[in-house]
Amino acid sequence: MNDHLAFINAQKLLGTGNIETSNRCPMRCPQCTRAKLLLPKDSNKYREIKARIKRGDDLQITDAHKLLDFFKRGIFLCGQLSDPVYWTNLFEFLKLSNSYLDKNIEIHTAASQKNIEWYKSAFSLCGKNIVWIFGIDGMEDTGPIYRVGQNSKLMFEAMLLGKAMGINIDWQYIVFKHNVHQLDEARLFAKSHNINLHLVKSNRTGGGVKVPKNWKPNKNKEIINGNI
Amino acid sequence: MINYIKPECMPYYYNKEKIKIDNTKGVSQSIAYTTDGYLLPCCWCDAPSTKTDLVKAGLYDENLKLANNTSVEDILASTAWGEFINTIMHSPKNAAWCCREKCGVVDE
Repeated sequence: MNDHLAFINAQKLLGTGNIETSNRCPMRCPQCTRAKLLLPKDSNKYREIKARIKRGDDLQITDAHKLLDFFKRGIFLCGQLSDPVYWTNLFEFLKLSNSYLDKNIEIHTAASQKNIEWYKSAFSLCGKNIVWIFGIDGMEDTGPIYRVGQNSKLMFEAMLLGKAMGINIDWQYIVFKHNVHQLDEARLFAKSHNINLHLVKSNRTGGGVKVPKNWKPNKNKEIINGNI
Repeated sequence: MINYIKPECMPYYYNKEKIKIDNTKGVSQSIAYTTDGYLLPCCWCDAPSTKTDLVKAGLYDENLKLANNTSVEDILASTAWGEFINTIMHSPKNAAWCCREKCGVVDE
């Protein structure tokens, strides 16, 4: 088999498509591509990201079908510059995903939606094949330090609501100097509510945040099980 | 300067001596779908710093937009994608910046 075919097969059988669902996110995380919107308007980087967001659009359901059909394992809704909870077709997609119960679908979200009722409506459409992964880096007080604009309190409420509704809920926690002291508290919270906690070693440094020396990844990014 | 690329989107790689090394367990990067409707080898490629390389490689050609194709396979089977993969595997110094930066190996 040649390299090209090997790539296609590997992606089809082993890959889980990383899907950007729209061009919207209300947060201002300092290392996000969107942060370049804070640069001077005459800079190349500002113009480039502005144009990219302008060109962006919502993933259409017909295209979501094509992605689900290709990746045998499933897909994850993530985002380089958007958050899936701001995808206008999300509820329709959640309904559709019930026809793909053999595929794992992960929803990676760090941007809080308007209220808990929104989450209740979303969770009520979810099948067992969906996992919600909440990106909260710390507890209620420290969550918004890197995730600028995040209503961390609402996110915690949403995680608990999801668990109460029988939804698969995971918690992704990037370890920084400003939240490393809360790891025991986070582990206890996760354990007491039966939530999978993933601790992330990251190189993110934007906005003045710092990563403790022993929480730096070997390369790119490392995720470890925090429940241990 | 990198010696070769150990792509996290591939089940194997070719080392410095051009020997094929299995890396099936190392496939950790999946194809990314972008906000403007294209497929890229992984999310690390979806960055402004490397877009020029990918445009040059043809991955942003209008006919490779997902909306303009009936399946993901149709896009991946294109000549542009074939050449892109070939460059990563056999001509790493000419590969896109993101592939050299994230998956390039200087010494191992």
